[in-house]
Amino acid sequence: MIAILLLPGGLCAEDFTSRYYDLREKEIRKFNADLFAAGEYYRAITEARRYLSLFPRGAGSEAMAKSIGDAYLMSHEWADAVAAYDEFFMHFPVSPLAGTATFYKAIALLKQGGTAEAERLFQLILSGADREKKGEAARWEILLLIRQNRFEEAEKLLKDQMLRPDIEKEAGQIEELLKAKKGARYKSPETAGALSALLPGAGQFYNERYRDGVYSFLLNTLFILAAYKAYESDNYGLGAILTLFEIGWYTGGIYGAVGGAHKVNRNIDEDHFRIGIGRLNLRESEIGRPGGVSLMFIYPF
Amino acid sequence: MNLLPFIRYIRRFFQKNLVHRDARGLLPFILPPGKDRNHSSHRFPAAVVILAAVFLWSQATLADETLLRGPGKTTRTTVHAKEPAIGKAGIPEEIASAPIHFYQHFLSHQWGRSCAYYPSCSNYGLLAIRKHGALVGSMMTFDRLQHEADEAGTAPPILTGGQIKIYDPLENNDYWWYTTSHSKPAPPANMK
Repeated sequence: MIAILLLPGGLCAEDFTSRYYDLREKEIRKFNADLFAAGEYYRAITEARRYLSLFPRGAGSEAMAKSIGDAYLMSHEWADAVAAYDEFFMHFPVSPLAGTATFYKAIALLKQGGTAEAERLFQLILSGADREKKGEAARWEILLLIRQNRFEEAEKLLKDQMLRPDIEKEAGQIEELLKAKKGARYKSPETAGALSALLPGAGQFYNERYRDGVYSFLLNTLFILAAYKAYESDNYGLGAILTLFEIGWYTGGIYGAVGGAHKVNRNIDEDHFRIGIGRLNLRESEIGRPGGVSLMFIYPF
Repeated sequence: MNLLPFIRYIRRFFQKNLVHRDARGLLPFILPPGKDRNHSSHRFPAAVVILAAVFLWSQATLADETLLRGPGKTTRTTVHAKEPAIGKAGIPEEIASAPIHFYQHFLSHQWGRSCAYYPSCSNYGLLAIRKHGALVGSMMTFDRLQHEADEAGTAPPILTGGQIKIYDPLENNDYWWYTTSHSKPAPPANMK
């Protein structure tokens, strides 16, 4: 009799528990999505971690784990984003979201200055079957190759028939970028250094840093003259001090000329890179939040 | 500690007793012994120089480690502070840093913070010497003093201490030959 009375109640309790479980799971996912959409990335991370703690095998655990990396990426915490994506790969190595996560990890690495590692990940995406981010990865890869003046590899990728449909729209722009970069006029650090060694300030003039060149020339001239005058008047102590300073100006000038040439070259590379980001539509990328609506991630390069 | 009266006293002493007639105001103790000077008069300035050097040495403070990282990154600087490449300190480095310490202790305080760059040229010099040693560090310091004019056109401005300054850290001037291990990204873990 007791069993007959309790059985329906037990069934109800179980049903209620599972319904509560579902409700709670959906509630956290929705709240995480809302926080993400509102730009409350750190709170979204907290909710995602709460979800993963409560429902480690839940339906949305993969998306939640990835959303932690996305949230760090959106808040420009590159190292944390990389660590979060690594954690995602560790727990969900065969997830269908792995391709997208790899792409965003590459972006985070790129922002950290790890061009080589980012490039490796882009190539991983290009050689994989996941087509979602293939086009963007191909454009990034080509742009990185152009940045490093690896023109042959960039052209090879551009002509790749397998990738062509993904980059067809930007193919013309890529060709223009290649042409412009090939014609870029770099400065030779060796020439700049040699010129400054021959005539202080000449290397800076070669680098088109004219004011630096004038200062370097004047400082060297004045100190050489002052040291000469000091020695001439048998003032060897002062002469030695002035000579020491002159050695500093002279070697510093050569160092500055070599470094200046490198800086000019770096600026050329960065300018072309920035132009490329704009022309190849890489300034923005969609990050799909767990709720289903996507957000635009803007690269502040 | 106000050292101005002491400096004034030393200056008056030199002007009164030791300064060469043709070089008043220059460094008097390095002048050659002339007919109006005797050899015994060299002992006092030499002692002053040695005492000043000892004083500066004892007062010397290490350059601010956080300046190596730039603004906004100061809270995360201790991680790599033990890296051997950062923190060269020996007798040559102390000697090379001494004029900068002298400038910071005695001159900069009187002139005020006028450097338009961040880190300031003197701090940059200390950091460069500490990071790359006496020779390369000194060379970079002299380079910094020369390349200020055109750098302002390309380097980014930053707001620090309520002032807008031009951001020109060491990394902007040694990136083409010096890379630290922490600047490279960690190898991907658990990547397929």
